[in-house]
Amino acid sequence: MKTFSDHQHNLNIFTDISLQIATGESVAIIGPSGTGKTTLLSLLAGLDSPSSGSIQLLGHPLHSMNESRRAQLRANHISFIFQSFQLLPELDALDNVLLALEIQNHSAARQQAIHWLQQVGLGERLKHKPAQLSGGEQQRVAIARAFATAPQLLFADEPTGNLDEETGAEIIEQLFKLNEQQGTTLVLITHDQQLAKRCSRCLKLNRGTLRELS
Amino acid sequence: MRSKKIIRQAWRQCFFDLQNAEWRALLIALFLATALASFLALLGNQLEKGLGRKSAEILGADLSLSGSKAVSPEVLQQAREYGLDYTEVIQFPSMLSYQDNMVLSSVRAVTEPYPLRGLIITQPDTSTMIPPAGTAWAEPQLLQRLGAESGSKIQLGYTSLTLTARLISSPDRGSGFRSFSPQLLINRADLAATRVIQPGSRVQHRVLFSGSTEAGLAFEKWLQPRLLPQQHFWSVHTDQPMAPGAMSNASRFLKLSSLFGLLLCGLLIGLSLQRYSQSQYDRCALLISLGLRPNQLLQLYLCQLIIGWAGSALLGTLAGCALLQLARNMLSGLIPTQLPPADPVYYLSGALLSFILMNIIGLTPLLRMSRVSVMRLLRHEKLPRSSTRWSAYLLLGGLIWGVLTIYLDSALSALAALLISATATLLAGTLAASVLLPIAQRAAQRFALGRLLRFRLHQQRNWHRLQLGIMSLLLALLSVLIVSRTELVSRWQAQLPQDIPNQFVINIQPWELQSVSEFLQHQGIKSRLYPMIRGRINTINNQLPSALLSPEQLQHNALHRELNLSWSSEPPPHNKILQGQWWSGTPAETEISIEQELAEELNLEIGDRISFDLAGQPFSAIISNTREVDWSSFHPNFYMILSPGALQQYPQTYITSFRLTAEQRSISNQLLQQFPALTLIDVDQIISQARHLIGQLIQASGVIMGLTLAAGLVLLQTLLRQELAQRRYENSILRVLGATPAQTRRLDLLEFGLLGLLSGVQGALIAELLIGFISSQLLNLPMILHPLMWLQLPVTGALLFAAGALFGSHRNTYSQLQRH
Repeated sequence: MKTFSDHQHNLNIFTDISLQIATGESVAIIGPSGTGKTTLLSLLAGLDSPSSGSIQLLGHPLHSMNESRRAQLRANHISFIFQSFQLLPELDALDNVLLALEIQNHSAARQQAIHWLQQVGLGERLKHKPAQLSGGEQQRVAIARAFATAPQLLFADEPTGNLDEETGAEIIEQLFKLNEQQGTTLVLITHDQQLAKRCSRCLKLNRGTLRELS
Repeated sequence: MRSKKIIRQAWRQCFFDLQNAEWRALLIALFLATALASFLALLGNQLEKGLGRKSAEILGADLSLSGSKAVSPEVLQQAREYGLDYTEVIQFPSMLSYQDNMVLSSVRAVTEPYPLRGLIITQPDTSTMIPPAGTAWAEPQLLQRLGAESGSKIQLGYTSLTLTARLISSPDRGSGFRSFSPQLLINRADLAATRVIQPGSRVQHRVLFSGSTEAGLAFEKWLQPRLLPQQHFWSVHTDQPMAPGAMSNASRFLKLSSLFGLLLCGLLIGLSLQRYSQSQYDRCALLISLGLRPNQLLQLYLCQLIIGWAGSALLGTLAGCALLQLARNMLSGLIPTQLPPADPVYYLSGALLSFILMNIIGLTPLLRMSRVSVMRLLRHEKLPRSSTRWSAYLLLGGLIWGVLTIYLDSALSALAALLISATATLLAGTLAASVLLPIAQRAAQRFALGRLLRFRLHQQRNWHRLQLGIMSLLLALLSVLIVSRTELVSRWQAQLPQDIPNQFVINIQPWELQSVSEFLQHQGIKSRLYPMIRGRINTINNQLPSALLSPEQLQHNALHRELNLSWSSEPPPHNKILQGQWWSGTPAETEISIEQELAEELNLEIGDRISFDLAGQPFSAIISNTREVDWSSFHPNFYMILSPGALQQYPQTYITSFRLTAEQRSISNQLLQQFPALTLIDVDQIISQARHLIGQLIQASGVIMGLTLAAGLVLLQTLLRQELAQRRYENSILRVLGATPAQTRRLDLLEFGLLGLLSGVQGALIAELLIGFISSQLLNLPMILHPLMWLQLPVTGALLFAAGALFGSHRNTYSQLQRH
């Protein structure tokens, strides 16, 4: 359960949520705005702690770990893809991907970064800065960055939210292709029905409860 | 992430963020703080070394003993026994003449070997250590003022000497004002022929010693208890500071005038760091999401700050050195041309100060950055506003106080400076802000978007307080500086009576008295000649001053130097008897008329007996009256005047003062030609020199004011920028809703123009008060208003703010809304 309090009132946003995600699954969480999708994602990723209840992530009890251990777990096993890409503007495409690998002291980081950019079709645009790339291309750099560190779990928050339909479809294609190849577990939050349909499971969050859609 | 990678990323961010206005403002603040602090530290150190702490090269020896009388043979014998070398120097002020030009110079008569430490540099090089007999070496400034050159024959007293070289630099320039006058080096063998040194002449006898450190220390130990009251002893071993006087005051004046600038830089560093860190929260969250640990994030930004600081500090230090050169050119005449280079550590001090400021102020924003959550990228949530505790502010204030204490060398001055600056800014800001809203209220009724103006001013009132406070103080300080330079000195000079004497003649010997009197009478000049004899106070009521007076009273200058005493049967016409009676005729026991302030300060009363040491002879007299002396009358004035009779037997000289008009200037030349041993002091020249020096000092502080103004303007821009981003967004909404570009522009101009106008009006008010205080309290001048200033400052203020508001992009369109 997650409770928000303003000293006078308590607001419980989840009731009786039980969710199990197996390795390699792709899970979409959909639901109207304001139902707590992002809060759920933050709890699953260990960015926030539940007020009550327990969360096990990759065999670790997230609810009882302190922030620094959770951060360590995230750094080693989790990647994120954001709606607004979040690339560093001063770095070119290659350096943006390289940075994530360098933070984790990855060996052969450069080859790895080039490999992943080629995988997303940007092999010719390694030296382009974000401002010189289209929205779709920027999100592809973000995807390459997310996969480059070989995460076991990938969280994506509205990855197509800032893209037009056609570009969004291309990005979805790319995301699922890599996900299949790498066997990464994918949890994504979206409003996009097309995107949700591509996932192996689709969950709808509404009025604090989570319902599996067939 | 490895350290090397962190440094690389920091390096990249450092350059990329040059696009970020807050980062730029931070770098400018660091640059200005470093430039200001290095400039002052270097200047201060050079001045201190130039006349304060003496290195052997400056002293020309390891030890130096000076006094108004020749050093006794016993001391010289002892020095020989300790194995020390020594040489004697006689230094005195004297007028030099060449053709029609006369210049007061400080003459050093020396014998070989000289100097004992350091080197004399001349142009052209000379083969001898000192000028051979019949010749002299002069400093370039002296040659320039005399209009002479190498080979010219100059007149010194009754003898003429040939100038054979320019004295480029030399140790042992002497201390205090002796070291300021342009100098002439002569051979001791020529001294007698000049006949300049007479009983009562102002002469300093100096003996320089050199030898091993042990011998020097042993001799010093032997000498210290045997020092006579009029003797001064300096040693490179014990590093006694010399009386710093004018230069130290100049240095302190410049330091204080830079203080507001430094505090502004501190504020700018704080503000820009805070805003810069806020602009980095997204990036921090991203880096954390990629796995960077908070301590690595701290390292990254600390590294970036250090790289930014290193660049700014390097440029700042270079600018400080350039400013030092500029200031030294501006202060030429006030400070010796040949100053030793500053210690290397002082080249780093400005950079160090800005580094400490950056770290003290930057700690909180940096820590906040490392606490950013990845959630920010999902929700764009703001950091919880952690209310900074009072204790944190107190700690910050305490640390800044500590830094200022080191900088100003006084904890009390630093505290006063900090409190005065903060209170003045706060008061000025609050006062102006309280006037701002009612004015806006009126404007609101006449203007279509008036309600919005009122709303804006209300919303930003806290920032406005800061902006108004800083800008009005800056404008006021700038005006005070300009007015002091241009107006106050001329007004002070103009209020001096027209018939005030402008020439002093001293060193008139008794046998010249009659002929000098006749000469002046013949030229139609009214003057009165006063006898003068030098004496030191020995006892008061047969007790040593130390047994009677408090430690503060014992510091009084009159107890530490020889006083000029005079005698007269009539009271001086420009003095007023306050208590007691002037003597009639020649009283049986010698009586003293004492200057009233001195009597009060030393607790002296009528009937008290003072005994003096007159040329080694004891002499005592009783106080019979007190006098009020107007020291600014430019007549010969004395602390003590004695009844006639008893003093005549002692060696005496005479002094007089008179006024020469511009047309009568040649009379002083004739006087000196006829009586070469007289010393003539041209007061007009001294006043004009003083005026020049004040001008130079103000000009040098103008450099500091320029930097302060730059810091103030960058701060203003930084404060305005955030407001402008908000304004542009609001304007975009207004435009979408149908307002015309002209209307929104008018709204901006009205808001910022109003702020500028108000800070100008308040600046003028503060400036008037400060100038009024200076003129009435320090210069005894009536207060006058400066109507032009009331016009100039508000217009300047309004233009500065309006320019700031119009500066930058004008994307007041729908695209602005989208970007927001």
